[in-house]
Amino acid sequence: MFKAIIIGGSAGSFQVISKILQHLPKDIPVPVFLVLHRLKHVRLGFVEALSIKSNIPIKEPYDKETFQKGIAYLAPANYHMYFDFGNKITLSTEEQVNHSRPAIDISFMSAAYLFQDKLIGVILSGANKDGVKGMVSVQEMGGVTIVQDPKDSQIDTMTQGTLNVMDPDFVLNQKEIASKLIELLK
Amino acid sequence: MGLEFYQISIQDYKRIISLLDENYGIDVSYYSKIVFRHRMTILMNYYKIKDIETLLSRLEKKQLTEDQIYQFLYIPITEMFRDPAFWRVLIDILKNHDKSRKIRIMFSGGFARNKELFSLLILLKELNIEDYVELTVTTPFLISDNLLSVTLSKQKFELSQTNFNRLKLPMIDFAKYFDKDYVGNYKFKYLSDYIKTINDVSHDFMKDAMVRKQDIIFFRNQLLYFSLPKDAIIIRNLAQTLRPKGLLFLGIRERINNPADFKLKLVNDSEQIYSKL
Repeated sequence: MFKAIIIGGSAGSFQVISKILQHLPKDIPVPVFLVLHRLKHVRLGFVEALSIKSNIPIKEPYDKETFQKGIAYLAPANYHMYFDFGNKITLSTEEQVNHSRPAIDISFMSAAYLFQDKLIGVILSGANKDGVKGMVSVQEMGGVTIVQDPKDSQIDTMTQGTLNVMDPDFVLNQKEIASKLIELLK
Repeated sequence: MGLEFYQISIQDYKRIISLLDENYGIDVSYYSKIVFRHRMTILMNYYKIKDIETLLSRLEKKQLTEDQIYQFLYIPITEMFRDPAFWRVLIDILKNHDKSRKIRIMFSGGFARNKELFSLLILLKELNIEDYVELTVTTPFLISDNLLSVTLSKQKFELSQTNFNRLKLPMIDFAKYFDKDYVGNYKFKYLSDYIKTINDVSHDFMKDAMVRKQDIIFFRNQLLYFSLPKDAIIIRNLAQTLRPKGLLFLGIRERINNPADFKLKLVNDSEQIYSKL
Protein backbone atom coordinates (compact mmCIF):
# COMPACT_ATOMS: atom_id res chain seq x y z
CA MET A 1 0.00 0.00 0.00
CA PHE A 2 1.50 3.33 -1.04
CA LYS A 3 1.74 6.22 1.40
CA ALA A 4 2.42 9.19 -0.91
CA ILE A 5 2.72 10.46 -4.46
CA ILE A 6 5.27 13.10 -5.36
CA ILE A 7 5.23 14.91 -8.68
CA GLY A 8 7.93 17.23 -10.01
CA GLY A 9 7.84 19.44 -13.03
CA SER A 10 8.95 22.67 -14.56
CA ALA A 11 8.40 24.38 -17.88
CA GLY A 12 5.57 22.72 -19.77
CA SER A 13 4.25 20.74 -16.81
CA PHE A 14 1.33 22.90 -15.70
CA GLN A 15 -1.20 21.41 -18.10
CA VAL A 16 -0.07 17.91 -17.27
CA ILE A 17 -0.34 18.46 -13.51
CA SER A 18 -3.73 20.03 -14.04
CA LYS A 19 -4.87 16.96 -15.99
CA ILE A 20 -3.57 14.58 -13.32
CA LEU A 21 -5.31 16.48 -10.51
CA GLN A 22 -8.52 16.51 -12.53
CA HIS A 23 -8.60 12.72 -12.67
CA LEU A 24 -7.43 11.75 -9.19
CA PRO A 25 -10.35 10.54 -7.06
CA LYS A 26 -11.65 12.72 -4.25
CA ASP A 27 -11.03 9.92 -1.77
CA ILE A 28 -7.44 9.31 -2.84
CA PRO A 29 -5.88 7.43 0.10
CA VAL A 30 -2.52 9.29 0.09
CA PRO A 31 -1.22 12.86 0.12
CA VAL A 32 0.06 14.25 -3.18
CA PHE A 33 3.14 16.48 -3.11
CA LEU A 34 3.70 18.88 -5.99
CA VAL A 35 7.14 20.40 -6.54
CA LEU A 36 6.98 22.79 -9.45
CA HIS A 37 9.42 25.45 -10.51
CA ARG A 38 7.68 28.80 -10.31
CA LEU A 39 8.30 32.51 -10.08
CA LYS A 40 9.60 33.22 -6.61
CA HIS A 41 7.76 36.48 -5.97
CA VAL A 42 4.38 35.49 -7.35
CA ARG A 43 2.62 34.10 -4.32
CA LEU A 44 -0.97 34.22 -5.47
CA GLY A 45 -2.64 32.53 -8.39
CA PHE A 46 -0.84 29.21 -8.68
CA VAL A 47 -2.97 27.28 -6.20
CA GLU A 48 -6.09 28.96 -7.54
CA ALA A 49 -5.21 28.10 -11.15
CA LEU A 50 -4.49 24.46 -10.32
CA SER A 51 -7.65 24.25 -8.21
CA ILE A 52 -9.97 25.16 -11.06
CA LYS A 53 -10.08 21.63 -12.42
CA SER A 54 -8.63 19.67 -9.52
CA ASN A 55 -10.71 16.97 -7.93
CA ILE A 56 -8.83 17.26 -4.61
CA PRO A 57 -8.03 20.31 -2.51
CA ILE A 58 -4.65 21.98 -3.11
CA LYS A 59 -2.78 24.02 -0.55
CA GLU A 60 0.61 25.50 0.12
CA PRO A 61 1.75 24.12 3.46
CA TYR A 62 3.14 26.02 6.40
CA ASP A 63 6.35 24.86 8.02
CA LYS A 64 5.84 21.83 10.32
CA GLU A 65 2.31 21.30 9.02
CA THR A 66 0.98 17.74 9.33
CA PHE A 67 0.17 16.31 5.91
CA GLN A 68 -2.99 14.29 5.31
CA LYS A 69 -4.33 11.96 2.67
CA GLY A 70 -6.64 13.41 0.03
CA ILE A 71 -4.84 16.75 -0.17
CA ALA A 72 -2.30 18.03 -2.69
CA TYR A 73 0.50 20.08 -1.14
CA LEU A 74 2.21 22.54 -3.46
CA ALA A 75 5.75 23.55 -2.48
CA PRO A 76 5.59 27.30 -1.71
CA ALA A 77 7.49 29.69 -3.94
CA ASN A 78 11.03 30.37 -2.75
CA TYR A 79 11.06 27.56 -0.14
CA HIS A 80 12.44 24.04 -0.25
CA MET A 81 10.04 21.37 0.96
CA TYR A 82 11.11 18.33 3.03
CA PHE A 83 9.13 15.53 4.70
CA ASP A 84 9.80 14.33 8.19
CA PHE A 85 8.71 11.67 10.65
CA GLY A 86 5.36 12.32 12.28
CA ASN A 87 3.88 13.21 8.86
CA LYS A 88 5.37 16.69 9.01
CA ILE A 89 6.31 19.01 6.19
CA THR A 90 9.44 21.04 6.82
CA LEU A 91 10.29 24.13 4.78
CA SER A 92 13.59 25.93 4.41
CA THR A 93 15.11 29.00 2.80
CA GLU A 94 18.43 27.32 2.07
CA GLU A 95 20.40 28.02 -1.07
CA GLN A 96 18.99 27.06 -4.45
CA VAL A 97 19.74 23.60 -5.79
CA ASN A 98 19.89 23.23 -9.58
CA HIS A 99 19.12 26.97 -9.70
CA SER A 100 15.78 26.16 -8.13
CA ARG A 101 13.92 26.76 -4.88
CA PRO A 102 11.84 24.71 -4.42
CA ALA A 103 14.19 22.08 -5.77
CA ILE A 104 12.64 18.85 -6.99
CA ASP A 105 15.74 16.85 -6.03
CA ILE A 106 15.53 17.92 -2.40
CA SER A 107 11.86 17.02 -2.03
CA PHE A 108 12.17 13.73 -3.92
CA MET A 109 15.23 12.67 -1.89
CA SER A 110 13.47 13.54 1.33
CA ALA A 111 10.28 11.72 0.33
CA ALA A 112 12.25 8.68 -0.83
CA TYR A 113 14.02 8.48 2.52
CA LEU A 114 10.80 8.83 4.51
CA PHE A 115 8.41 6.68 2.47
CA GLN A 116 10.92 4.17 1.06
CA ASP A 117 9.07 1.65 -1.15
CA LYS A 118 5.68 3.20 -0.32
CA LEU A 119 6.26 6.17 -2.64
CA ILE A 120 5.30 6.89 -6.23
CA GLY A 121 7.54 9.46 -7.92
CA VAL A 122 6.49 11.19 -11.13
CA ILE A 123 8.70 13.48 -13.21
CA LEU A 124 7.20 15.69 -15.91
CA SER A 125 8.25 18.17 -18.57
CA GLY A 126 10.97 20.65 -17.61
CA ALA A 127 13.87 22.66 -18.91
CA ASN A 128 16.61 21.65 -16.48
CA LYS A 129 17.83 18.50 -14.80
CA ASP A 130 16.42 19.16 -11.36
CA GLY A 131 14.59 16.00 -10.34
CA VAL A 132 16.89 13.51 -12.06
CA LYS A 133 18.81 12.62 -8.89
CA GLY A 134 15.60 12.66 -6.91
CA MET A 135 14.03 10.09 -9.20
CA VAL A 136 17.09 7.87 -8.93
CA SER A 137 16.74 8.11 -5.17
CA VAL A 138 13.06 7.10 -5.30
CA GLN A 139 14.02 4.04 -7.30
CA GLU A 140 16.95 3.15 -5.06
CA MET A 141 14.69 3.23 -2.02
CA GLY A 142 12.23 0.88 -3.70
CA GLY A 143 9.57 3.36 -4.80
CA VAL A 144 7.70 3.26 -8.10
CA THR A 145 8.92 5.70 -10.76
CA ILE A 146 6.93 7.23 -13.61
CA VAL A 147 8.50 9.46 -16.25
CA GLN A 148 6.46 11.47 -18.74
CA ASP A 149 7.42 10.30 -22.19
CA PRO A 150 9.97 12.82 -23.54
CA LYS A 151 8.15 12.74 -26.90
CA ASP A 152 5.03 13.87 -25.04
CA SER A 153 6.91 16.52 -22.97
CA GLN A 154 6.73 20.12 -24.05
CA ILE A 155 10.37 20.44 -22.97
CA ASP A 156 12.21 17.16 -22.54
CA THR A 157 15.40 18.10 -20.64
CA MET A 158 14.04 16.83 -17.34
CA THR A 159 12.34 13.70 -18.64
CA GLN A 160 15.05 12.67 -21.10
CA GLY A 161 17.69 13.50 -18.49
CA THR A 162 15.99 11.05 -16.13
CA LEU A 163 15.79 8.33 -18.77
CA ASN A 164 19.49 8.81 -19.50
CA VAL A 165 20.45 7.68 -16.00
CA MET A 166 17.75 5.23 -14.96
CA ASP A 167 15.23 2.75 -16.18
CA PRO A 168 11.90 3.81 -14.64
CA ASP A 169 8.97 1.53 -13.97
CA PHE A 170 6.78 3.42 -16.44
CA VAL A 171 7.26 5.88 -19.30
CA LEU A 172 3.83 7.30 -20.05
CA ASN A 173 2.19 10.11 -21.93
CA GLN A 174 0.18 12.70 -20.04
CA LYS A 175 -3.15 10.98 -20.69
CA GLU A 176 -1.89 7.74 -19.16
CA ILE A 177 -0.26 9.05 -16.00
CA ALA A 178 -3.41 9.70 -13.94
CA SER A 179 -4.95 6.32 -14.76
CA LYS A 180 -1.68 4.58 -13.86
CA LEU A 181 -1.63 6.37 -10.51
CA ILE A 182 -5.21 5.28 -9.82
CA GLU A 183 -4.37 1.72 -10.82
CA LEU A 184 -1.32 1.63 -8.53
CA LEU A 185 -3.34 2.94 -5.58
CA LYS A 186 -5.99 0.21 -5.87
CA MET B 1 29.08 19.37 -11.07
CA GLY B 2 25.75 19.28 -9.27
CA LEU B 3 25.19 18.68 -5.60
CA GLU B 4 25.88 15.17 -4.35
CA PHE B 5 23.24 14.00 -1.91
CA TYR B 6 23.98 11.75 1.05
CA GLN B 7 21.38 9.85 3.00
CA ILE B 8 22.31 10.31 6.65
CA SER B 9 20.64 7.66 8.77
CA ILE B 10 19.17 8.41 12.19
CA GLN B 11 22.06 6.52 13.81
CA ASP B 12 24.67 8.58 11.93
CA TYR B 13 22.75 11.76 12.69
CA LYS B 14 22.94 10.94 16.39
CA ARG B 15 26.67 10.26 16.14
CA ILE B 16 27.24 13.58 14.38
CA ILE B 17 25.36 15.68 16.94
CA SER B 18 27.08 13.81 19.74
CA LEU B 19 30.51 14.53 18.23
CA LEU B 20 29.66 18.19 17.67
CA ASP B 21 28.64 18.47 21.31
CA GLU B 22 31.58 16.54 22.78
CA ASN B 23 34.40 17.77 20.52
CA TYR B 24 33.26 21.28 19.64
CA GLY B 25 30.76 22.25 22.33
CA ILE B 26 28.16 22.92 19.60
CA ASP B 27 24.69 21.87 20.71
CA VAL B 28 22.51 21.26 17.68
CA SER B 29 19.97 19.04 19.40
CA TYR B 30 17.34 21.74 18.80
CA TYR B 31 18.20 22.22 15.10
CA SER B 32 15.58 20.88 12.68
CA LYS B 33 16.76 17.30 12.15
CA ILE B 34 15.81 17.06 8.50
CA VAL B 35 17.44 20.36 7.55
CA PHE B 36 20.51 19.60 9.66
CA ARG B 37 21.07 16.40 7.73
CA HIS B 38 20.92 18.39 4.49
CA ARG B 39 23.32 21.01 5.87
CA MET B 40 25.79 18.19 6.52
CA THR B 41 25.49 17.03 2.91
CA ILE B 42 26.26 20.59 1.77
CA LEU B 43 29.31 20.61 4.07
CA MET B 44 30.43 17.26 2.69
CA ASN B 45 30.12 18.55 -0.87
CA TYR B 46 32.11 21.67 -0.05
CA TYR B 47 34.96 19.82 1.64
CA LYS B 48 34.77 16.91 -0.83
CA ILE B 49 34.04 14.41 1.92
CA LYS B 50 32.97 11.30 0.07
CA ASP B 51 31.01 9.39 2.69
CA ILE B 52 29.51 9.59 6.16
CA GLU B 53 32.26 7.51 7.76
CA THR B 54 34.86 10.02 6.57
CA LEU B 55 32.78 12.88 7.96
CA LEU B 56 32.50 11.14 11.32
CA SER B 57 36.24 10.45 11.33
CA ARG B 58 37.05 14.10 10.62
CA LEU B 59 34.74 15.24 13.39
CA GLU B 60 36.27 12.72 15.80
CA LYS B 61 39.76 13.96 15.00
CA LYS B 62 38.62 17.60 15.03
CA GLN B 63 39.90 18.07 11.50
CA LEU B 64 37.20 20.65 10.86
CA THR B 65 37.24 23.92 12.76
CA GLU B 66 34.30 25.38 14.66
CA ASP B 67 33.92 28.11 12.05
CA GLN B 68 33.95 25.59 9.23
CA ILE B 69 31.03 23.83 10.88
CA TYR B 70 29.08 26.97 11.79
CA GLN B 71 29.49 28.16 8.22
CA PHE B 72 27.15 25.38 7.14
CA LEU B 73 24.79 25.49 10.10
CA TYR B 74 24.00 29.08 9.21
CA ILE B 75 21.75 29.45 6.22
CA PRO B 76 23.48 31.34 3.43
CA ILE B 77 22.17 34.63 2.20
CA THR B 78 20.50 34.29 -1.14
CA GLU B 79 18.85 37.68 -1.41
CA MET B 80 18.06 40.81 0.57
CA PHE B 81 14.55 42.28 0.90
CA ARG B 82 13.05 38.81 0.48
CA ASP B 83 9.23 39.09 0.24
CA PRO B 84 8.89 42.71 -0.91
CA ALA B 85 5.19 42.64 0.09
CA PHE B 86 6.27 42.20 3.71
CA TRP B 87 8.68 45.12 3.51
CA ARG B 88 5.92 47.33 2.08
CA VAL B 89 3.77 46.50 5.10
CA LEU B 90 6.69 47.33 7.37
CA ILE B 91 7.17 50.68 5.64
CA ASP B 92 3.54 51.58 6.43
CA ILE B 93 3.98 50.53 10.06
CA LEU B 94 7.15 52.60 10.48
CA LYS B 95 5.76 55.65 8.71
CA ASN B 96 2.65 55.66 10.87
CA HIS B 97 4.41 55.08 14.16
CA ASP B 98 4.07 57.69 16.89
CA LYS B 99 7.26 59.76 16.63
CA SER B 100 6.94 61.10 20.17
CA ARG B 101 9.02 58.21 21.44
CA LYS B 102 11.59 55.90 19.92
CA ILE B 103 10.32 52.70 18.41
CA ARG B 104 12.15 49.69 19.78
CA ILE B 105 12.97 47.13 17.12
CA MET B 106 14.70 43.88 17.90
CA PHE B 107 16.36 41.66 15.36
CA SER B 108 16.93 38.23 16.81
CA GLY B 109 19.47 36.02 15.13
CA GLY B 110 18.91 32.29 15.00
CA PHE B 111 20.46 30.23 12.25
CA ALA B 112 19.57 32.66 9.49
CA ARG B 113 22.32 35.14 8.67
CA ASN B 114 21.82 38.83 8.92
CA LYS B 115 20.26 39.65 5.57
CA GLU B 116 17.09 40.77 7.30
CA LEU B 117 19.04 43.00 9.65
CA PHE B 118 21.01 44.59 6.86
CA SER B 119 17.86 45.02 4.77
CA LEU B 120 16.26 46.73 7.77
CA LEU B 121 19.24 49.06 8.21
CA ILE B 122 19.01 50.17 4.59
CA LEU B 123 15.28 50.70 4.92
CA LEU B 124 15.59 52.81 8.09
CA LYS B 125 18.18 54.93 6.37
CA GLU B 126 16.05 55.39 3.26
CA LEU B 127 12.99 56.30 5.32
CA ASN B 128 15.12 58.77 7.24
CA ILE B 129 13.76 57.58 10.56
CA GLU B 130 16.91 56.16 12.07
CA ASP B 131 16.80 58.77 14.85
CA TYR B 132 13.43 57.44 15.98
CA VAL B 133 14.62 53.88 16.29
CA GLU B 134 16.32 51.99 19.07
CA LEU B 135 17.62 48.80 17.53
CA THR B 136 18.56 45.73 19.53
CA VAL B 137 20.42 42.91 17.85
CA THR B 138 20.55 39.61 19.69
CA THR B 139 22.56 36.54 18.83
CA PRO B 140 22.48 33.33 20.84
CA PHE B 141 25.92 32.18 19.78
CA LEU B 142 29.40 33.61 19.83
CA ILE B 143 30.60 33.35 16.27
CA SER B 144 33.18 34.98 14.07
CA ASP B 145 32.35 38.32 12.53
CA ASN B 146 33.04 37.01 9.05
CA LEU B 147 30.02 34.73 9.36
CA LEU B 148 27.82 37.75 9.90
CA SER B 149 29.05 39.85 7.03
CA VAL B 150 27.17 39.98 3.76
CA THR B 151 28.90 39.55 0.45
CA LEU B 152 26.62 39.15 -2.51
CA SER B 153 27.55 37.79 -5.90
CA LYS B 154 26.59 40.01 -8.84
CA GLN B 155 23.53 37.83 -9.45
CA LYS B 156 22.37 38.00 -5.80
CA PHE B 157 23.08 41.71 -5.69
CA GLU B 158 20.89 42.27 -8.74
CA LEU B 159 18.14 40.12 -7.25
CA SER B 160 18.31 42.11 -4.00
CA GLN B 161 18.21 45.35 -5.96
CA THR B 162 15.15 44.12 -7.87
CA ASN B 163 13.45 43.24 -4.57
CA PHE B 164 14.31 46.68 -3.22
CA ASN B 165 12.95 48.40 -6.31
CA ARG B 166 9.66 46.57 -5.76
CA LEU B 167 9.22 48.62 -2.57
CA LYS B 168 8.59 51.62 -4.80
CA LEU B 169 10.59 53.97 -2.64
CA PRO B 170 12.07 57.03 -4.34
CA MET B 171 14.80 55.80 -6.65
CA ILE B 172 18.10 55.45 -4.86
CA ASP B 173 21.47 54.13 -5.75
CA PHE B 174 21.20 50.74 -4.03
CA ALA B 175 24.86 50.08 -4.79
CA LYS B 176 25.96 52.88 -2.44
CA TYR B 177 25.42 50.48 0.46
CA PHE B 178 28.02 48.07 -0.89
CA ASP B 179 31.70 47.96 -1.65
CA LYS B 180 32.40 46.19 -4.92
CA ASP B 181 35.48 44.00 -4.75
CA TYR B 182 37.93 43.16 -7.52
CA VAL B 183 36.08 40.00 -8.57
CA GLY B 184 32.75 41.80 -8.86
CA ASN B 185 31.16 40.77 -5.55
CA TYR B 186 29.29 43.29 -3.40
CA LYS B 187 30.15 43.54 0.29
CA PHE B 188 27.60 45.26 2.51
CA LYS B 189 28.89 48.31 4.41
CA TYR B 190 27.83 47.92 8.01
CA LEU B 191 25.69 50.87 8.95
CA SER B 192 26.23 51.10 12.69
CA ASP B 193 27.15 54.75 12.31
CA TYR B 194 23.73 55.49 10.80
CA ILE B 195 21.74 54.23 13.75
CA LYS B 196 22.28 56.18 16.93
CA THR B 197 21.29 53.39 19.29
CA ILE B 198 22.18 49.82 18.57
CA ASN B 199 22.20 47.45 21.52
CA ASP B 200 24.25 44.45 20.57
CA VAL B 201 23.49 41.74 23.09
CA SER B 202 23.85 38.02 23.43
CA HIS B 203 20.55 36.47 24.34
CA ASP B 204 19.20 32.97 23.94
CA PHE B 205 15.42 32.90 23.51
CA MET B 206 15.40 29.20 24.14
CA LYS B 207 16.16 30.06 27.76
CA ASP B 208 14.13 33.13 28.63
CA ALA B 209 12.54 36.40 27.51
CA MET B 210 14.37 39.72 27.49
CA VAL B 211 13.63 42.25 30.21
CA ARG B 212 13.60 45.26 27.88
CA LYS B 213 10.28 45.16 26.03
CA GLN B 214 10.15 45.75 22.29
CA ASP B 215 7.67 47.24 19.79
CA ILE B 216 8.77 45.03 16.90
CA ILE B 217 10.59 41.72 16.84
CA PHE B 218 12.04 40.30 13.64
CA PHE B 219 12.17 36.50 13.62
CA ARG B 220 11.39 35.82 9.99
CA ASN B 221 12.27 32.39 8.56
CA GLN B 222 14.11 31.33 11.67
CA LEU B 223 11.61 29.02 13.35
CA LEU B 224 12.08 26.84 10.26
CA TYR B 225 15.42 25.72 11.64
CA PHE B 226 14.31 24.74 15.12
CA SER B 227 12.87 21.37 16.01
CA LEU B 228 9.25 21.17 17.09
CA PRO B 229 9.20 21.23 20.89
CA LYS B 230 11.72 24.08 20.97
CA ASP B 231 9.86 26.48 18.72
CA ALA B 232 7.01 26.85 21.23
CA ILE B 233 9.52 27.86 23.90
CA ILE B 234 11.03 30.45 21.59
CA ILE B 235 7.63 31.88 20.63
CA ARG B 236 6.65 32.16 24.28
CA ASN B 237 9.85 34.04 25.14
CA LEU B 238 9.60 36.31 22.09
CA ALA B 239 5.97 37.10 22.96
CA GLN B 240 6.94 37.95 26.52
CA THR B 241 9.56 40.35 25.16
CA LEU B 242 6.89 42.36 23.29
CA ARG B 243 5.19 45.44 24.62
CA PRO B 244 1.36 45.41 24.55
CA LYS B 245 0.35 45.74 20.86
CA GLY B 246 3.95 45.03 19.89
CA LEU B 247 4.45 43.10 16.64
CA LEU B 248 6.17 39.80 15.96
CA PHE B 249 7.24 39.15 12.35
CA LEU B 250 7.57 35.55 11.20
CA GLY B 251 8.29 34.23 7.71
CA ILE B 252 5.31 33.99 5.39
CA ARG B 253 5.15 30.18 5.66
CA GLU B 254 5.69 30.08 9.42
CA ARG B 255 2.61 29.98 11.56
CA ILE B 256 1.71 29.93 15.24
CA ASN B 257 -1.11 27.42 15.63
CA ASN B 258 -2.71 28.77 18.79
CA PRO B 259 -1.49 32.34 19.11
CA ALA B 260 -3.80 33.10 22.04
CA ASP B 261 -1.80 30.59 24.10
CA PHE B 262 1.09 33.04 23.80
CA LYS B 263 -1.08 36.15 24.25
CA LEU B 264 -0.67 36.89 20.56
CA LYS B 265 -3.16 37.63 17.80
CA LEU B 266 -2.64 37.19 14.05
CA VAL B 267 -3.07 40.64 12.49
CA ASN B 268 -1.73 40.01 8.99
CA ASP B 269 -2.27 36.53 7.57
CA SER B 270 -0.35 36.86 4.32
CA GLU B 271 2.75 38.27 6.02
CA GLN B 272 2.37 36.31 9.29
CA ILE B 273 2.47 39.30 11.60
CA TYR B 274 1.27 38.78 15.18
CA SER B 275 0.32 41.41 17.73
CA LYS B 276 0.75 41.12 21.50
CA LEU B 277 -2.61 41.22 23.28
